[in-house]
Amino acid sequence: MEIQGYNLPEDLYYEKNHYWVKVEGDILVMGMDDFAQQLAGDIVFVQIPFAGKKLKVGKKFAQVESGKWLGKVYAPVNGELIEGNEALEAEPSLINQDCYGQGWMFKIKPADTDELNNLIHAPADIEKWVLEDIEKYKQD
Amino acid sequence: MEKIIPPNDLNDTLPTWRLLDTPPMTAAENMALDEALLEVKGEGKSPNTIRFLQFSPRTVLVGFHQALHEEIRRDYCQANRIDINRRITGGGAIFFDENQLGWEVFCDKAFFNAAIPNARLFKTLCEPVVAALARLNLEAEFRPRNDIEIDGRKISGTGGTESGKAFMFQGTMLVDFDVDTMLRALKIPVEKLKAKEIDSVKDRVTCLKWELGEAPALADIKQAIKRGFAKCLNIRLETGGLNAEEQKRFAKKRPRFRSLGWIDSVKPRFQKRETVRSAYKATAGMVRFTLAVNLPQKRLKDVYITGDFLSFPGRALYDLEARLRGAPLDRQHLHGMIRDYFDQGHIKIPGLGFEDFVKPLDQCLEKTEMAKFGIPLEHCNLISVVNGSFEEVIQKNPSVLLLPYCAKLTGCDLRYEKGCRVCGEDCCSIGPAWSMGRHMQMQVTSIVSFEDLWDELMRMKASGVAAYIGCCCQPFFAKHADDFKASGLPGILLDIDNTTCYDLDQAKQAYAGQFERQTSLNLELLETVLQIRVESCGNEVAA
Ligand code: SF4
Ligand code: SF4
Repeated sequence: MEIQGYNLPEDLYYEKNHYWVKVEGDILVMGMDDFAQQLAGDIVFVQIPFAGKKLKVGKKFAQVESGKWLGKVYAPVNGELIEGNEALEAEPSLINQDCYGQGWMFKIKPADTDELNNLIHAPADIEKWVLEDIEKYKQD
Repeated sequence: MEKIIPPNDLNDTLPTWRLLDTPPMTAAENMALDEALLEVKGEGKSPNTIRFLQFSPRTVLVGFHQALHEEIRRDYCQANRIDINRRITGGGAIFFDENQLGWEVFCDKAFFNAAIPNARLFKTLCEPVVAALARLNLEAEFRPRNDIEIDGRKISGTGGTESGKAFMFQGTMLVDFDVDTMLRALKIPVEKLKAKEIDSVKDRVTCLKWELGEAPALADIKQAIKRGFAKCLNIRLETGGLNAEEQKRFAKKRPRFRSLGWIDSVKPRFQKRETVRSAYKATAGMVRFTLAVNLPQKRLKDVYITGDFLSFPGRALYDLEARLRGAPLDRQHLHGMIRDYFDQGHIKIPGLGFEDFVKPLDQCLEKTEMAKFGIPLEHCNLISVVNGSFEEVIQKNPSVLLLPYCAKLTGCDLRYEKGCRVCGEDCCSIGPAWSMGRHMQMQVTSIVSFEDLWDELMRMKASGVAAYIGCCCQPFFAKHADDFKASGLPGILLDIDNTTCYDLDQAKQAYAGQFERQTSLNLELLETVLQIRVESCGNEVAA
C-alpha cells in the first residue's frame, strides 16, 4: 500500500526498525523498507556477515552506512543467516533503487516461523504504525 | 492555567547527564572506549553522556568501512609517528592532532523519541555546538546532513552509530589546524601538494585559531560546548567517571582495537577511491575539477572545484561541492544538479556559466570511461579526448600521430622542422614515438607551432583523416580545448612529461615555435593507447 509517498507492500511482514520480511518457502528474505530507505538517503555501505551466523531476535547482526551514520540491522526472528546479497557490496545503492527487489539484503532460516506473528503484518496495523512514524520523523 | 516553575527549581527538574572529560589517549584506547561506552549505554547500564576526547599521539582515523590503503599514506604516518586506526562510526578519513578536541554524545534513543537517525536528529545534535561557537563569538551554521561551518568553511564534521537502545554521535572541533601534515597523512585528491592546492584546501575548512586570531584556552572551549549542550538539550551536566561495567569492557576491548585485524579489516575490493581531474580554460578563467570516485560503486565520493575565477557568494562553490558529494557517477544526473544550482541563482560567477563547469566535469567522466579499457585511472588522467568519447575515437582507427617539437632534442637540426630521422635511442623521446607510430602504419608528423597545428588539422580533415592521436601538455590542451573541438576532428591527446613551457611561463614563445627546453613524451602511455587501437582495429605491420 502507498502511505503518504511511502510504498509498503501488504504481503510483507515488518520489523519496527523498518525492515521487511518475506516468506519464501521455508526461508525468509529481509531488506530495508521504503520508509527507512527514504529517511536514510544514499546507502554507501552494507556489511554482509558470514553465512551460518546465528541470529537472535532483536540483536544486531549487520551494519548499513548512509550519510556518515553507521546503522545496525537487528534480527527480526531467531534463526540462522543463510545468505547475504553480495550485489550490495559493489552497489549498495540498489537499496535506494529497488528496496523490495534487487536491493534485498539477507536470507534467513527461521528457528520457528510462528515468530513472524510478532512482526507487523495486518494492513490496518501497517498503516497505523507507518502513520505514527511519519508523524514522529516529520522533518520540520 | 499555565504552571509557572520558579527559576530555582528549574535545574532540579532537568534530566541529568554525565560529563566525561577523558585525558588524551592513543587512538586504539579512544576507539575501544567509544565502543565500550556505546555498548553499555545500549544495554541501559549507564547514564546519558557527553564525552570530550583528545588524542596523543596524533592520529588518522578512517571511517568504519573504509580501506586504509585508499585513504591513508601509511609510510608517511609511520615515519612521522602518527597513529592509524578505524572508527566505529561512518564517514570519511580524518586527521586528528593533539590540538583537536572531539565531542561525543551517548544517549538513549528514547531521549529523542527516535529509533532511526534522521536529518532532524542530526540538526538537534549539531545545534549545541553551533551554540557553543556563538559563545566564542563565532557565527556558525549547521550544514545538512551533518557538518558545522562558518561562512561555508567546515569547522566541525560529525558522524555516528548506534547499539541497542542507544545512539552515539561524535564530532570534531578544529582548534588549530595543520593543513600540511593532514595533506601528507591522508590521500586527499590534490595534485602535488603545491602551494595553490594547500590554499584551496584551506579555503574549505577553518578552525578556531584562524577565525579568532588565537586559539581559546581548551578549558574555555569545553565550557562553551558543555553549556551549548546543557541549553539546547535542556539537560544538566554533572562531571563523572567510568562505571565498573564500562571499565571492564574498556579493558577487554583494548587489545582488539590495537590489532591489525581491526585496523586493517577492510580490503579495498569495493572501497576504492581514485582521483580524476580535468581543467578547462574558459574566457573568464580556468575551471578545474578534481573528482574522487569509487568506480565499482559508480559514486562520486568527493569533489573539488577550483580555478582562478571569483564566485558569489563566497561559499557558493563549497555548497555546490557538498551537494555533489556522494552523488551517483552519472553524467545526466550531475549535469542536472549543476544546472539547477546555476539556474536557481545559488552561484554567480562573472563570465562563467553552467556550460563552463560541465566541460571539465565531462572530461573527468570521460576519463573514468577509459578505465574500462584496462587503463589505470592514474593514466586516464593523462588523456584528453575531443569530438567524441575515447571509445568512439578509437573505433575510428586514428591514422595520424602528432608529436610536439618541444620533445625533440634541443640541438637537433630538425627541432623546428616537421620531420625526424629516428637517429638514435637515447637522445630524445620523439625517435621511439616516431618508430612506434610508423610500426602501427600511422602517418607521423611533428607540430612546430600553434599555427602549424591548425594547418595540420585542416589538411587532415581535407584529406579525409577520420581521427588522430596527439601528444601535448595538459595546459596546452586546457587552453585550446575549444580550438581542438572547432577543428571538428576526433582526437586523443596524451599528456607529456617534464616541465612545460607553461610552468616556465614561456607559453608565448612555445606558441610561436620558439620554446627552447626539451620535454619528454610519455612513451609508456603512448604505447598503451596505440596497443588499444590495434586491439580494436587491427593494423599492425608484421615485423
Ligand atoms: S630522434 Fe628525431 S627528433 Fe630526436 S634528435 Fe633524432 S632526429 Fe631529432
Ligand atoms: S605548449 Fe609548450 S610544453 Fe606544451 S606541448 Fe606545446 S611547446 Fe610543448
